[in-house]
Amino acid sequence: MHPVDWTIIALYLSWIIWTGVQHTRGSTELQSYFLGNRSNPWWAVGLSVMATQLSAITMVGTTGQGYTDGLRFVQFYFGLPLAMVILSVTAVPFFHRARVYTAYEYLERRFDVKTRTLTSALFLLSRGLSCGAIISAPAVILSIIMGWNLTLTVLLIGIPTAIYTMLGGVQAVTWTDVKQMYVIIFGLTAVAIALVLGLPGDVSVGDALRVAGTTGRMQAFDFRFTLNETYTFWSGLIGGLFLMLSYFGCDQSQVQRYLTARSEAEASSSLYMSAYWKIPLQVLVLMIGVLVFVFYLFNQPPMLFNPVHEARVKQSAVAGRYADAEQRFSKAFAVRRDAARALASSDSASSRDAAGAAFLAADDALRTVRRDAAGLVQEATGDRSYRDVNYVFPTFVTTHLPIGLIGIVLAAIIAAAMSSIAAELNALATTTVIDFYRRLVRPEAPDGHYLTVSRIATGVWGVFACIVALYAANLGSLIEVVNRFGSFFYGSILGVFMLAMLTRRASGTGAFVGLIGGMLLVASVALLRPDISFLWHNVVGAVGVVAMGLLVSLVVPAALPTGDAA
Amino acid sequence: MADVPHTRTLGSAAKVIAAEIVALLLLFALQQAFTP
Repeated sequence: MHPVDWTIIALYLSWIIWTGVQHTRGSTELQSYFLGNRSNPWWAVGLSVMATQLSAITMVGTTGQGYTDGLRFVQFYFGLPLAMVILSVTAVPFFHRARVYTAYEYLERRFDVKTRTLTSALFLLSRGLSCGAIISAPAVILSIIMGWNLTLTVLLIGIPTAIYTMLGGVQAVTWTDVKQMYVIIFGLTAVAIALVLGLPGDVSVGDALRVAGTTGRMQAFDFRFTLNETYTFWSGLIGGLFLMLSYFGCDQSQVQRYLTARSEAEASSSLYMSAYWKIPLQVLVLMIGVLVFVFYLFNQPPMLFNPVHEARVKQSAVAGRYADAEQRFSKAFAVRRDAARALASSDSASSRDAAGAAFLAADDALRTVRRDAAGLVQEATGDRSYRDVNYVFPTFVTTHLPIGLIGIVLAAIIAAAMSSIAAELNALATTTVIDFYRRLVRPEAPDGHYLTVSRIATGVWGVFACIVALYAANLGSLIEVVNRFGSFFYGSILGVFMLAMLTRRASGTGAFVGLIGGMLLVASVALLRPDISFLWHNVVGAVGVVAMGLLVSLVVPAALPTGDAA
Repeated sequence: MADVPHTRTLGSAAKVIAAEIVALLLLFALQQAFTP
């Protein structure tokens, strides 16, 4: 990599660490360390909420998804604006008026300590592990594409984040998130412009999108109602609504962002920022993937995007067959390039139909060669699930963008990772200290003691996340297990909060039994009906918990009249 | 007085829903314009 790009990354890291560490002085008590004295403006909280959600996996994986599947993934977010509307009249006023540090603290006021402890323990378990995955995924990709040492890449992302989060607390997280969001938006916009400028002179943006549309990549909507497809209009609107309600309403890594807002109204406005901008931002990210696909119609891509796998195949017994596939790939690429050019320049409906059919046939031939090559990788490496979709965007960035822009985009990918990790470390430490240490271990200690413990907890979670990241890098399936495990109780936790906020009849025992029952129900659905998409698990979990919780509450009613904390 | 925040909440919610409908319609138009 060119020294200019290294300098940009170094400047970015220095800027972020400096911003974070600056907030150390203001974080002198628990209230300021975890809630920033509830003083932040809506726009900063809103950007922090968006930066937390947008991880490096989103940047690299979603552009890859745009490259292979087009715009359809955007349907995943269709429930988000509705979720924000619902949360602004439920979670936001409930949490703000209850003056809580964590979402789970509220559950004790409404139910009992066992329900609070179980939900916060589930949060620590899932987020602690997923934080490792959030570091690991971009670190593996960057180390492979850039040839960097994996351990150093994990530490490059994890250590600075842990340091500024540990020192500056939630204010460091919020204000670094704001700057990281600027870097991300600038990086994405610059790539989109570079891609448009990189089109051949005789191919307009409209032509490019029409060629992409011929392959179905401009198809954003799928109105079929099926439980088996993850990305449809209905699964996004209904399943996505429940997922987003759970993520933004019950997950401490998001709840803590808007607890720092200076008023209830500003907290709502911060959520509305995502409601307005998440779908357009996601379309931009996916569109970049689509444009990378178009770019590679006119510029020969590597046959496989993972260079490590490619190198291993070339040194294996199937190297000859791989070389033969490369020759076929070059020929197939030339045929597809000419077909794409013919399609782009066709102006009548009939010639467009014929050119479209020829282009699709050429694209199919190219994909057949790529499938053969992926088969050779599987033969040579034993990796049964070869997928290189996450390597497409970083490969494009590092091989086709100009010097300077490479550094900016890599900084944006690192920024996306760091902003999500910081929020998670901050939330993990808050839950550890507030829901466990202060509640169960040492309830009566001076504020300074809790502040010291909070800083230690943040550092310990940072080290834990880096260790998980290093192990997860070698155990790809572990990440899948963690994600799957998380999906078992995401909807169920939402169900507990629905019982807390929407009903007066639910008792603590009802909520506790309902939560366990809901998780078992989701696990049964996942095991017995693996064809049902995971987005629907959130609906099953939430509805299951509410139904079971209310039933059990009839048998074991609340011991005392319960009033809303709000 | 009590109606003021309530009205504001409803107004903000209506604006968010309206913006989503417009965004989805634009996305649908984009799809239809470039999908044969």
